[in-house]
Amino acid sequence: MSATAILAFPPLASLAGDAAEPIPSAKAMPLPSDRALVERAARGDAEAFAVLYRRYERPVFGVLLRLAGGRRALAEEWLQEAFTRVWLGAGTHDPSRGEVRPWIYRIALNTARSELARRHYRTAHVSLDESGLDLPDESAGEKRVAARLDEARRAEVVALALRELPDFMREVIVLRCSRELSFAEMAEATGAPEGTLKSRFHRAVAALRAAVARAEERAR
Amino acid sequence: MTHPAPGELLDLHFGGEDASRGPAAAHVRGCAACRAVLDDVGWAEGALRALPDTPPAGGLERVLARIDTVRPARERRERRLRTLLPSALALLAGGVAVHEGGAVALLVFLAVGSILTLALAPVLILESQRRS
Repeated sequence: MSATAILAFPPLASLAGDAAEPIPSAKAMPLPSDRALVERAARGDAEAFAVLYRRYERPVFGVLLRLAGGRRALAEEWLQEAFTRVWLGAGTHDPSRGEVRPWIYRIALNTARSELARRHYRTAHVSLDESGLDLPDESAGEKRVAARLDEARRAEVVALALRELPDFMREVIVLRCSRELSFAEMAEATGAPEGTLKSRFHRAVAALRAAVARAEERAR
Repeated sequence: MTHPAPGELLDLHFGGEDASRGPAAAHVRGCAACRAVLDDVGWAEGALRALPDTPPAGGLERVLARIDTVRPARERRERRLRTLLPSALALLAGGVAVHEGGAVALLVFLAVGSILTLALAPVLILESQRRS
């Protein structure tokens, strides 16, 4: 990171204040490409970084939450770490070696991998309490509560099942089912050959089915 | 009957409109085994959708705050490296000079080093002031 990038970083408040507001020129001008945003971020343009963050926040968080087996607090921490790495590594992104999208997902994936290795979260944790999922709102109508309970229970079962999968299976099924990356892009992001990923995907689907059945059995 | 390769079935499921018109699609319409594979893939997608993906509120602020805490440490590390690297290289060059050429080479090395230091000192001082 150049010294210019460091000096050009604006005060936090000015950016954070914009977080919920639309970009003023978004309607008048075409949206900047991911590549342009990363190039600007590499030069220390924090507004470009903020646009990139907002563009990828939801899909990347969705992937991280599933990689974390539904542990919301963990996924939030990884999201912060991943985007910190995106900012710090913006200058190292080489457009000739791939697009921004797989690059961002590679960073997110590596963050999850390194944090999982560091925290020894590889073993399955089966406490329903720590899934971090939203609980139904008590004030809502009875049917809504019942429906939300069903949804929450289903989400918990899937979260528990995901935790049982080996990391390489969880990665492939989460990344592909998010529909954010093609198998070719996943190969770029994970470093594994496309054919291997496709074969892993089929095994992961079967493993997830079996894990969901076990989790449902336990939840009864 | 020859079934499409597992990869082809995945392309069919994830490929959208174009893939649904190919020969693999025609095969799947008449093959219960291949349809079962695709049903499993669809089931997995549905199962994963059960988990929410609403990002945390105020995420950007927290990332920016984290960057602000990480950046000075990284900057210090880079500055330390920039300072230590020339010294380490000079020591290495001195060691090689003594090893290869003895005392005369060492004297030449020290003389050249002194001249370079004197010549570069103003630039280094100005740069250091600018950074601080």
